[in-house]
Amino acid sequence: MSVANQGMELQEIKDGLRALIVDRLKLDVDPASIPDAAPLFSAAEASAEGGLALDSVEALEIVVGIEEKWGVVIEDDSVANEFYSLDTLGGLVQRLLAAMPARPEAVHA
Amino acid sequence: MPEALAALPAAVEPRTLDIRGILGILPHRYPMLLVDRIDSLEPGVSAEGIKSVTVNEPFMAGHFPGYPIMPGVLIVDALAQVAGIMMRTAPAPALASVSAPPADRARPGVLAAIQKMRFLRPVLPGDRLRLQARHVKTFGSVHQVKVDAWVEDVLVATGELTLSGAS
Repeated sequence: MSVANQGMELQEIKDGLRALIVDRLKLDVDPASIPDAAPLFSAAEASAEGGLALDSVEALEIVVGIEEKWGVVIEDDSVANEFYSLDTLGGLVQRLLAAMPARPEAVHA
Repeated sequence: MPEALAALPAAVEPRTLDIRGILGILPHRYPMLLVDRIDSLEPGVSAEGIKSVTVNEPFMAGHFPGYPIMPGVLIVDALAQVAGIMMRTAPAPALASVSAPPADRARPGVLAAIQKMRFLRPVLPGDRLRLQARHVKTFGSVHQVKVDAWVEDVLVATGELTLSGAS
């Protein structure tokens, strides 16, 4: 059933992240308007490239949201470098999903 | 799988702290020390303590004259203090302890966010607040904690707090 996990396309994950971020952080932005490559966190870079300038408290909220939505575990902040853009964050979620042991039933978000 | 369960290490013995123990862990002092005793402590995982509320609390004089009730924000801080004890006693202290070197004293760990907080009943003189904190998730130096406050068996406040270790 590895096909099921592989079937979780990066684009699908990134759209899930867009919705999660806007919903959990109660942002007043259109999820579709967040660019894939824009820095989500750095205020200086984000303002120039259409990013969100999120802070460390919001990063933690995203961690909890990702764990609830996809059933994965983000052990510690060794993956902090991947908390950069939707592209890098989506890659992290995809990798965590692929590393998950096969389950009898699919995880529904 | 009973075999797998039996193989798990035994739970850490829950600890308790009297007021002197609390004074050694929290930097708070009068009139902002809002926890009297810790009845159960699993460092880094959960903690439960009590705060006995009296009419002699300094805030009762003005909140409110003739109708003394404990301010909701102080219930939040009492909960944050129990959460702080839970995180400061963790094996690798997530928040600096009081006895840390002077350089660390300026950033003993602070409240960074209050989420989904609900105040369900007024807390009055004579009430004994039972304060519960349970660790949810840590990312970097930021910690999310679920908190509940009870008076006897009535839930009086509930929500989530985010503590920051340093900034």
